[in-house]
Amino acid sequence: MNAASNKAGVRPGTTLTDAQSIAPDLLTEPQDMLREGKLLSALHIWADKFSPRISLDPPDGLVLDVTGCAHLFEGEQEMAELIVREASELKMTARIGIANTRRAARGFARQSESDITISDAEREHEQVDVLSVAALELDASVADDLRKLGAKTIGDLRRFKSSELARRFSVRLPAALDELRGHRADPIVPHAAPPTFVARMTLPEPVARTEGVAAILARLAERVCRRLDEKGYAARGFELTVRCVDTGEHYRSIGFATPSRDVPPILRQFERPIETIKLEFGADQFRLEALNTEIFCHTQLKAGDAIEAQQDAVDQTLTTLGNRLGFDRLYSPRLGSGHTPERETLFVPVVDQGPAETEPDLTTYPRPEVVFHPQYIRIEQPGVPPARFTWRGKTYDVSNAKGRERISPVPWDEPQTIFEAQTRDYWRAKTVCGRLFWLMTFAKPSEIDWFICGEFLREPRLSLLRA
Amino acid sequence: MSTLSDIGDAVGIMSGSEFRTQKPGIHLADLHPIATQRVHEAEGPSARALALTLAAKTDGLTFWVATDGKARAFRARALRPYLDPSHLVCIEVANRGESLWAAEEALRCRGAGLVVLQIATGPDLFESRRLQIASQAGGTIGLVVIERRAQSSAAQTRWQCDPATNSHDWQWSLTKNKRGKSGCWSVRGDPDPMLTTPPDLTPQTFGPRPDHDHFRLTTLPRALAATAPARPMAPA
Repeated sequence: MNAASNKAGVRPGTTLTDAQSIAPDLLTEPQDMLREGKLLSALHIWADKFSPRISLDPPDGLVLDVTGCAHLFEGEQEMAELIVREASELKMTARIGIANTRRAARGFARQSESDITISDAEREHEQVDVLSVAALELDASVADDLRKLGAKTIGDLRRFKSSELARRFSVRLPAALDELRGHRADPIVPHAAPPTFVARMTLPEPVARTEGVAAILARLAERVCRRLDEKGYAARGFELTVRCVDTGEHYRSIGFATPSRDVPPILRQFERPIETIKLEFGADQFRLEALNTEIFCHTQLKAGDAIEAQQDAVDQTLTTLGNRLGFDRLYSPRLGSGHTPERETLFVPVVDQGPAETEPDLTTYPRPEVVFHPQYIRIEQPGVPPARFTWRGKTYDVSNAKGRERISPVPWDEPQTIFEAQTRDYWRAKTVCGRLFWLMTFAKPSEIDWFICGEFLREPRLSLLRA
Repeated sequence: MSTLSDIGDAVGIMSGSEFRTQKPGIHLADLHPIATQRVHEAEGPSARALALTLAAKTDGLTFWVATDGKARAFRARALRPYLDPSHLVCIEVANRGESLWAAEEALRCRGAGLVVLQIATGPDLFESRRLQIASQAGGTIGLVVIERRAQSSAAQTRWQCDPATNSHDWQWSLTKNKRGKSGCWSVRGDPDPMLTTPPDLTPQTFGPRPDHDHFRLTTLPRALAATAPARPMAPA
């Protein structure tokens, strides 16, 4: 959306087909919320030069508190024109509204015809009356109801008493009106922009060898780590952007098991990803960014502690494994809260796990050590459980069976699998060859399907203390 | 400024990691000791039980490398008699090449105690030699749990782990041993579920069974042990 599209008649809210019929040479792109969010954060940092108190107004706005700042730019009009000029240098169209209150300024910026709207400090009450009720930032249902009542602008709402509005719609409506008119405080809560740790390098001549890229990465990593050190942060991931002159930008990222800010591990982990970049005609722009930064916790070094050295070794191994396989493929089993086989065990990624928690043991029947997703078994000789079945190409004869454990569906939660949604019966079936399996069937009397859900590695011992 | 370990080296005191690499092996009752810094193989239905019993006896992390969903096929509460589940790191890999690479990386880690590699076909001479070198570098024990077929490899020992049909839990036989003789042991492992620490496997002679549960190990008499055990069925 820009000024040209607005002039042609394409506004936010128009459907794509309508817009394309109105303006046939319209450029369209699918919405990428993540990148837009990042752009807004970058603009947040850019707008710091105009005012110290800025908050985000997603998806595409910023609210600046310019109390006491306007005189530094020689007036509000000049300040607004400066912002529009600087934004157009970034290839952005800026619409500015300056008013006494946040809601009024937002309304002016979004609804006014001209790019810059500065309200008169004394006469703002009348100017605000022409704004539509969308300036109150209400829910869609409330806005619809207001429209049906015939109240389209703020001025129309003057007819109603605030107690009537509160009773009919919600208490927030008169509160929003008061904030708009300045009778109620609506301070801007400035978001502190999170510190970014980025280093960039642009070369006059492109570099076409991997060793060159590695050398540049070493310098960028040193700058980023120095900044991390200064601010007291450490990062769990790093992303390198390499812009090749012919093919454009390539992204490579690495992760760490524990937050780190040392340069040699970064270079080591980047060795393999850098080799995969095809540098035919070379690359001339490089950017290294630290992702997932968190405040660095200093751990006290104990002299000669073998456990520290082992923990470092484990971290390094987990980092190497995670970078190649993916950090979500390394997990540890944990006790889950629940009694069904699906909820009993949680698999938590190793890099994210906290201290172990104890959960009460809600099982009364013994359960196997090896538990997997139910798999069909083919019944050769029926029975409860089947006297003979085939699984994975092998036939087993059941010599002895113990059961049955009935597990009902969990009524207070969404079932995670289709098996969890039904009542199931579990049996311990001992086969002639000695293996002990955990078989399952549904509790319906007409059920003929049997599944294998696990295997006991040894005969379960029933404790005397448990009933 | 010299640290305590430097002073220790000068005087001749060994630090913790050196102690671990000089241990002769893990003794499971009177089974043949499982040597550290070596890679062993186990095949048969109860091979995973051997892996868990070994994990109970090692300090440091246990890494379990498997494909598909086999790395997720554990029940945390059932692992507690053997080891603390948060000391088990399950690594899910996509294919055989990745599983061998991951096992090698884990064997190199000095903080690992045991690395279990669950694989369909056992490693051949080249692959097992690489695993062997990694295990020596890291001072860890490797155990390859072979699901289908074992190839001729450089493993230190190879165990055939079967479920026992008598009152014992498992029947573990040593089919290949680089040094020492073969043997066959009937093993019964019996942790008390009320215990929170992993129990010891203590040897005991034949005798009446006591009422309470604890780990006991019975071994077959020598004459029977000398004969090669008949393989009941191909491992699954």
